[in-house]
Amino acid sequence: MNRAGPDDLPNALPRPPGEEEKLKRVWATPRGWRILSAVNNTVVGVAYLGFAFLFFLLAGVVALVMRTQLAVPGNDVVGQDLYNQLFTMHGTTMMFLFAVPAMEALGVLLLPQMLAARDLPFPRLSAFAIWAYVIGGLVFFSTIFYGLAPKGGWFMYPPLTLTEYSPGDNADFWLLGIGFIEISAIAGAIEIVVGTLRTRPPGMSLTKMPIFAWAMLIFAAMIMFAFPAVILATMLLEIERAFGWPFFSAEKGGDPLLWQHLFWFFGHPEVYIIFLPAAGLVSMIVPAMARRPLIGYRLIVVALIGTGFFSFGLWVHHMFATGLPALSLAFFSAVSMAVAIPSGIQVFSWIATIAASEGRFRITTPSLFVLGFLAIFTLGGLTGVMVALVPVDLQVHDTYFVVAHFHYVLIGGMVFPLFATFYYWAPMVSRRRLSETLGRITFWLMFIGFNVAFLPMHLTGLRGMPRRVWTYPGDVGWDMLNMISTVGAFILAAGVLVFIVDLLRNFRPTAGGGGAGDPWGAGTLEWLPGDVYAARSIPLVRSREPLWDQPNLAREVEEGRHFLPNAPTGGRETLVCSPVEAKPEYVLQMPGPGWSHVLAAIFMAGFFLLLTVKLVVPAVLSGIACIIACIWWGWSLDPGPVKGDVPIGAGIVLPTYVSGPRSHAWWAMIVLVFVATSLYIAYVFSYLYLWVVSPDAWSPHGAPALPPATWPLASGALVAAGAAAMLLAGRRLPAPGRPSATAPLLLAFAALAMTGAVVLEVLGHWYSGLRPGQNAYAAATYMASVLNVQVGIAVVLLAGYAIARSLVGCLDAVRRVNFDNCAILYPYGAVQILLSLLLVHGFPRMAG
Amino acid sequence: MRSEPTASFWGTLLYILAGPLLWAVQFTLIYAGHTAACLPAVPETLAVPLVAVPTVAAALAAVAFILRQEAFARALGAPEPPRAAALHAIARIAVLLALVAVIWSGFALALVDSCLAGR
Repeated sequence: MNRAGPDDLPNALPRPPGEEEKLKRVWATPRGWRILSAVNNTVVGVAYLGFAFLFFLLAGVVALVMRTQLAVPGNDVVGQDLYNQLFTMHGTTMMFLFAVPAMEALGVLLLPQMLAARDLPFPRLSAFAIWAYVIGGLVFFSTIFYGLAPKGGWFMYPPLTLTEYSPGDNADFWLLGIGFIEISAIAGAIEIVVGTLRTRPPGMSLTKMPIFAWAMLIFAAMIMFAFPAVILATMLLEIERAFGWPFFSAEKGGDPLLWQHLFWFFGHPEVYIIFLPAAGLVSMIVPAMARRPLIGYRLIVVALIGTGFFSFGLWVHHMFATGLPALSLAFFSAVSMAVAIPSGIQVFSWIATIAASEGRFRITTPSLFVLGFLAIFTLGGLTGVMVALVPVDLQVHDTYFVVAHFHYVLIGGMVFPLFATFYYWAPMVSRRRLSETLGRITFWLMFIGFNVAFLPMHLTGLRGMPRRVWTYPGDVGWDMLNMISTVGAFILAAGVLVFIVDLLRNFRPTAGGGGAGDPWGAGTLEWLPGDVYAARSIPLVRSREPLWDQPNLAREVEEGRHFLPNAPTGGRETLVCSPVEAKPEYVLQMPGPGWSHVLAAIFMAGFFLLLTVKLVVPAVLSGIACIIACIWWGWSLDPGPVKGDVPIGAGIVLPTYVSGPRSHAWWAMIVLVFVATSLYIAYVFSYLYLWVVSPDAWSPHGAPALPPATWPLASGALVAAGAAAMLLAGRRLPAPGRPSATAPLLLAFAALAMTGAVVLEVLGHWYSGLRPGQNAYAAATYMASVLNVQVGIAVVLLAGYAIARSLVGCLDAVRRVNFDNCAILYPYGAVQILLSLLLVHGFPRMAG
Repeated sequence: MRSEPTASFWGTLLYILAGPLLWAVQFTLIYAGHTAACLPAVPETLAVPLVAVPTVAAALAAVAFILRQEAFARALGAPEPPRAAALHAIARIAVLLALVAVIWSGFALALVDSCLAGR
């Protein structure tokens, strides 16, 4: 591509008449009730954020009920059982239904604007994620109203949550409800990873990305690796509750600590999954208010990457009191302290930027929330270093000191930046700004209320008050501190109430039609003038703050002088660039509004929720309906190369259809393979962990002898033959317009071979006399097959879909994305099955 | 834009994540190694080499990366210096950060006995 100089813009004036009108028509959002079918990121993002905020309010009301109960000793506003449900729902809702979704919502809403993309690459996936989350979240939260809410704490530790100690459906609502919402989070993460890497504007190399984009990229990558651990954990616990496979029952060789390992391998990164995007938001607001570039951009990128990695080495600091070897504790203690270094780097960068402001640092409502964040988060970080020390942790474990610590980190580190975001970015999506006066009142009430509520909790904890108690005696010195905390909680709530008044009075969403403009004079692309189609043309970027460094950029973009100022294919499109240096590669044709993804979300919710209340047949029917909706959804997503190549400006002509590693679909599948790998690694850890705990349960001592080697060998041969068939099928795809049965037949063989391999593996163990409920070894052995069945079903569905596309002439050697999707998953599945055979058949022989 | 060779994404990713990946490998090895060394059937004396060797190896690898950064960039297909100066700075600082974490966690071996119950 040729470099375009300042006066040598990609497209010339005058633009052809009707160009902008066509863009408006193509990107128009549906009106009335049809808005539910909308996929534009500005509509979906605002709705997503709105629902996340609703859950924040609901969980906040739950917190106020708890604080009222604890205001005085011996109180009886709520009973013990309801209190258990309340604290479980408060933590679960805040973490799973508010914090992570709010950050994903901001990714959906802000990323395309910051990257000047017309939308994220999978708009219907974003919309699917939000509907799945809304339906699942509302049903899950409503359980509190009819006594079905879980009551095992937000971390649901077994053995308390095993059927013996938690009968009924309460715990199942948590396990299936949260598992389902995690799928929504992973869908969002795929969208964010591919969107950030592939839909940046030309010239915006990795090191010119806004810090928020870096933060969201790392956030999404962390979801890819952290969430599978808790998905596996919820699967294991639900399977134990439903079918009696004893993963966590010590009397049968299981171990409750396995849950803690899996849960906290997700749970601690979760804190940073919430914090990193918030830090990214702060890194965007501070330079705008300081009117200068962020000091230490490179250091902040390193800090984000470092925090993302280190956060996976901290999980055991939630388990310091469980009796693990002291040296192991020391490893985790060291990393728990080391993670303060990258966090500190960011804090000092923000302070330096504020101190070096061009003129005085502007004190606005967003700035106040940022300054409040700095004060509160730093205090939370300091107590974090305290609890990273094993002896201190043992002293304060499970006391209100820990409650104070993590509220300083989470409210300071996420809620305050979120409110700064509301005030800072509202003009981008609303015709009116939020009120500065009400904003300042909101801030001060929240800041004072927060500190009045949570500062005394450090002392309450040091005086020995344990967490999760529904009441306490009046003669142990906790009365006054608790009363102060309750007063503070209500002041904090009053601040949120003022914010809601502000929202009702001033927030007027524009459904993507351009907001109130840029009141801050910021330098990043989300403040480009735009309409439903986002920016009129996609700019050529030369720096990190293009609006500061290219003063005419906004006008040039609005005039359509940059890339893709039109809709050359006649539909929705955006530009896809290379992931490192952002060189234009192709024009991505995107789907518009539709109902298939909405139905898929509804039926998927139906599947999980009906399963929770043991309505198996309706659940299966709902699952089948979900698959049908997904097929309907996918059918329109592969338009083929019919539109040919199109010009985008600067003499560049790009294809409108690509396959293989250049395609965004290929990238999404690769991300999915990473997620599956992560889930499988968590399983291998679980298998080996259970062996370490109970080697006596393993075959041949504690269980029947393994099946003869012919079983795994036959299984392995089948899957290897299937992989070979898949490889051959890729080479035998017919030329366009020349139908052939070879590739579909090879695909069918490959799918059947994988199915056969999985069935053989299960039958081998069954005929050896092993039953999954027998002990932890048996359960772990059959669990490998459960995971292989999962992958097998996905492969069969993808292969069947590719065969169907082939039969109607929509799959050939050029139009091959649907085949590639299956061809990416198949080798992964084959490797997973072969590794399972090695582990399940080889390890007991080696260890026994 | 210039017609320079397109940088490899996976190579660039590996390049900027080299430090954190080194730390992750060392951390996994020392945690798993120490756990294995404390199993009843394994001699406890193995704990020291199982922690010390990965720590020293990771620290040396980090130092090698810092000294031969350009060669690593070239080998991995990342944009070579002086292109993308920020990318190289990020990779270098990330390795330094990882080096601190590697030494910090490995140093615990000098302070705490292996296989001692944690409470």
